[in-house]
Amino acid sequence: MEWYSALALMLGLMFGLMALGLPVAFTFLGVNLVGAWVFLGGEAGLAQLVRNSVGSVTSFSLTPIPLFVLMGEVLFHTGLAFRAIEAIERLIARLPGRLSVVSVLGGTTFAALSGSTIANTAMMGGVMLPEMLRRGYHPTLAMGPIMAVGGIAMLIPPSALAVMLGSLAGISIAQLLIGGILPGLVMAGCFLAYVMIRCRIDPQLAPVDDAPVSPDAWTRWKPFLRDVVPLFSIFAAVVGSMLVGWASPTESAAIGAVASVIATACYGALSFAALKKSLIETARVSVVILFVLVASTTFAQILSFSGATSGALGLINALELSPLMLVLGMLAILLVLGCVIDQISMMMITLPFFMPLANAAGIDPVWLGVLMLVAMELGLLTPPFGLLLMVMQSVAPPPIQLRQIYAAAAPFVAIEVAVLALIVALPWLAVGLPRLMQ
Amino acid sequence: MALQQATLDPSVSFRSPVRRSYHRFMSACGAVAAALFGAMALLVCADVLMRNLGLGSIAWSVEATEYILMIATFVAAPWLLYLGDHIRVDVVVRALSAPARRFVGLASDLACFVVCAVLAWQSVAVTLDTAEQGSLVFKVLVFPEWWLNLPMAFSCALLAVEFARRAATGAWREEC
Repeated sequence: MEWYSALALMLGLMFGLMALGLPVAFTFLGVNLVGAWVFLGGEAGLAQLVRNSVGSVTSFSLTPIPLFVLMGEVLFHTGLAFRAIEAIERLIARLPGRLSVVSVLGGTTFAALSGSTIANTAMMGGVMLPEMLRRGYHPTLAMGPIMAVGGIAMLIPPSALAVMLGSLAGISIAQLLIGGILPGLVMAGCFLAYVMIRCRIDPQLAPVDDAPVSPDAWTRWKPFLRDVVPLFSIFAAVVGSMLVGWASPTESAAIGAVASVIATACYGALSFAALKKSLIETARVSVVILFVLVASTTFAQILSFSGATSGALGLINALELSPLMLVLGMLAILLVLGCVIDQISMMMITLPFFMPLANAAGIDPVWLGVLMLVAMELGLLTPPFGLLLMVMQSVAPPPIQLRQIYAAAAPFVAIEVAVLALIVALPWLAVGLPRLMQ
Repeated sequence: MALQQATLDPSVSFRSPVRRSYHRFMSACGAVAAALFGAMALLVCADVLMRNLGLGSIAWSVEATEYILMIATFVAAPWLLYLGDHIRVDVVVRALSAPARRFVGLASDLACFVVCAVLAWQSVAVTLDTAEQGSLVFKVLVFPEWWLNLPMAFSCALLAVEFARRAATGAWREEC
């Protein structure tokens, strides 16, 4: 079979089954069955598929996925995360769009303590949204920052998806995690600036707070010092143990998970019920990711074996694109795919093509990895299939319509595109810290 | 909906003893995965602490962690399907009329049933084949290689059962 027929068969079947509503993991398994039968030699191919599937998750480098998720779940289910947000709220006074600002700061803090974008958005949506709507905030300023900041959890370590990208693409996981810090902070800064400028121009969007402002600085700072600052020791434990060389990136995730349990115990917030709930939720969130991985790993191998990968790569190479054009093309593909499929599928479909192209063109893999993370983060906010839009829909009160959720995300999508362009123009934003680490 | 929320409340009481047992079995699968993830965190942490304190290291910890990850993934996958948690892209399906959506839902469950049944059959075949060869996994831990295939065979068989149940009972209707 010609490479383009093989590519059309595999991708056509995949998009067809996805459109039928098959769960993503089973779509990949179905395509793999057909692909293994056709390209790997009938029944022997199916046996190979089984062996590959078992091998795909028997990997130490993937262990941070559940462990990073566990960190956030523990803080969430023990109530410590809510206390931290409350403390941040007390600290922020007299700012335009105060609660939206709190959402961005609280969400960024939680991003540094949790590896799951969904948990981040669900938590902030559950806590902040009802309060903002009650106080008459415009839906754009109530929902937009929560969804946007949810995506930052994908960039700022710990990040389950960054681990997965690093593992699948062969990019240093430690460098990718560290590389995401600066772009994540820049993005949070841009969100803050947008919220405050919009509220300054049109104060009606976020009615001025009637919350009493404590004149005493200690009363305002005490909850922050008590409930937020110590939590950063968890972040320090994760990143610090990695930087000092005590633990590999994989092991630092376990340290973070245990540190968050110890932190909640120190606050007297840990209970058996909360720990059990955290572990169960961790299993739910991480096995969804890991099972798609089981199903989709062989997909890349079959694509390669059928000749589709090398055929398509040959075609692209023949265009003789400059490295910059290649990167822009890759990002454009990711942005389009992000509108219709999930982040793990995006990685599985594109990485077999992107990484060989990037390596041949001499593109810095950490830079490309961070750009890919931002592009995939955008996919979380772009309709019709934006995971965080749907999470927001599930936590928003009934009068909020899907259309309003899309509209609320739009300005933040524009900001993220601008940050993406900024990282393209200034690569040191992504690679500066990792190089410093080296 | 991308991440289908749980369609079954754990507190729901089932009249049929078969359904109750099935519910408990599925929940037990989830509990095993959760416990495995907890054990994994403790094991890796203990290894790092011992190594940095100069107390030696747990030689089998990396290997055991890999197996834990694999077993937890396969054991929990049917439970997640039972809860309706697996990601699905339903952009097209949502645009269909209600009868068409029901038909597509049924077709989707049947297609998934076939995929899982074939994989279960192949997993069992590979397991038997490997057992017949008598090969061993020879790393820090030493054990018969066919043990590694058991979680996938278990998972695919249970997934096939759950897809058949969904097709027969119309569990997908609640998610459309």
